[in-house]
Amino acid sequence: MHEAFQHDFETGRWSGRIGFALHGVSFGIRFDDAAAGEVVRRIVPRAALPSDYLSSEHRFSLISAGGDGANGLFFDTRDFEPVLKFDRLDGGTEKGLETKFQFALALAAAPRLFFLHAGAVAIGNIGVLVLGRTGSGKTTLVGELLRRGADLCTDDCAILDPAGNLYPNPAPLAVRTGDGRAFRGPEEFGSIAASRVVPVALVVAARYEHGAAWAPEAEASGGGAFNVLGNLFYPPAIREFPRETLGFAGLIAKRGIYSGTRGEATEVAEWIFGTIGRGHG
Amino acid sequence: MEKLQEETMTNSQIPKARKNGLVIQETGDEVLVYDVDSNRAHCLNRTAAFVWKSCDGRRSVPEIAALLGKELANKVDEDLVWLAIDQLSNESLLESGIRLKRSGFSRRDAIRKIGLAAAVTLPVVAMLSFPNGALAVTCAASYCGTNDPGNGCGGGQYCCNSGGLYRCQVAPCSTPC
Repeated sequence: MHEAFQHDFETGRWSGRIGFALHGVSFGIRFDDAAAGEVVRRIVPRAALPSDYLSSEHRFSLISAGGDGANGLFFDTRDFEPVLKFDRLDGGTEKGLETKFQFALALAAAPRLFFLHAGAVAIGNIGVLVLGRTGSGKTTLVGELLRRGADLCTDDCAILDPAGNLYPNPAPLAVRTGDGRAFRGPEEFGSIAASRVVPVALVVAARYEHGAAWAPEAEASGGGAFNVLGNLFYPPAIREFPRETLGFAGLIAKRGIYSGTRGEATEVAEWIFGTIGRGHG
Repeated sequence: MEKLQEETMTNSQIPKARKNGLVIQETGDEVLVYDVDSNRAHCLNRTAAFVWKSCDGRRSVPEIAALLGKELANKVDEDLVWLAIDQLSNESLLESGIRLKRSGFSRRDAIRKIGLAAAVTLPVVAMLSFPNGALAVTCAASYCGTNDPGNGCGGGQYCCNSGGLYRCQVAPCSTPC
């Protein structure tokens, strides 16, 4: 595989390449036709900054005109591990490609950065994480926090460093609708995308249950850390960096993790602002 | 599993905590353990963590119970320690080859008995399993239950929860997300 890629590269198979850096970690991706290049530009995280492809630490190849069985996204610097294989690079494939590309970025960035399956906002100079699996009402709560003046860090994938600092990774909120999802920018909630790094000071794990009242319990540090581990965006990454990942989870847990069932998101949002206002963190 | 074999205590029943292949992180009174071999993480609550750390291969169960009693400033029944040992052993956190059985011990009975006394928190060893899978076979938890192209599986496959792991499969999910 490696030789073939190298050969093709030298004979001009690639139509272009893009380098970018995400909070200090550099990536490069090459592609084999112009349409694929447009897809790459759309799936690169919005918080990324342009970088030099050739000196990037982690490189990928996107092949979309390779013919039967050859198309896909490959992680070159991990021995060309397939990230996603596909027949045709269409709209549906692009959505999946974006998801898988984020998995790969999470894997590559560890342990300098940790990606969590969480919503996140900045309230003043304080970061708040909203943990939760699919269907837990994470996006609704993030939307409510934005309405009250928080800035959007992320709706779904929080990026943090080992010291617990939260980095912006803004993308439109994926709001559930009757027939799927609608994507809504922070401005639709009267907010903006965060552009600064803030320390996480509060973590909320709220699970929606119709009619429930929000009476959160502070999780013990081990249980809280366990909750963080259960929300790693790309869980297999722990295998490569177990010590660092456990340390990170323990550190986040010490900042304060509150969990419980919630009814209306407004109640939790009010509690979050009140808790921060009382000097938590 | 409920009714364990009847045996008398011998030296082979002195519990010893496993250390090899584990990454350990203490967080307050609790302990996080990552098992490199099984790719699983465990969270030991205060009681389970104390028992585990006391399993040095020299102390007997009654001695550990006495130590735990001092730590918690409460009388501790040996069954509480056996309950912890039972869970630690099940999760491979004790050295193998040690036959940790006690005459007439039943986990259900122990929980009932100790739970009624309720002066001490029952030992709990929680477990979280991580996927070994390569990038290509894992999918996005936020798309669980769907064959939405955004789930990252490609080819219309479903993203399903498999014991806390999110994996791609051809058939619709049979487990809740």
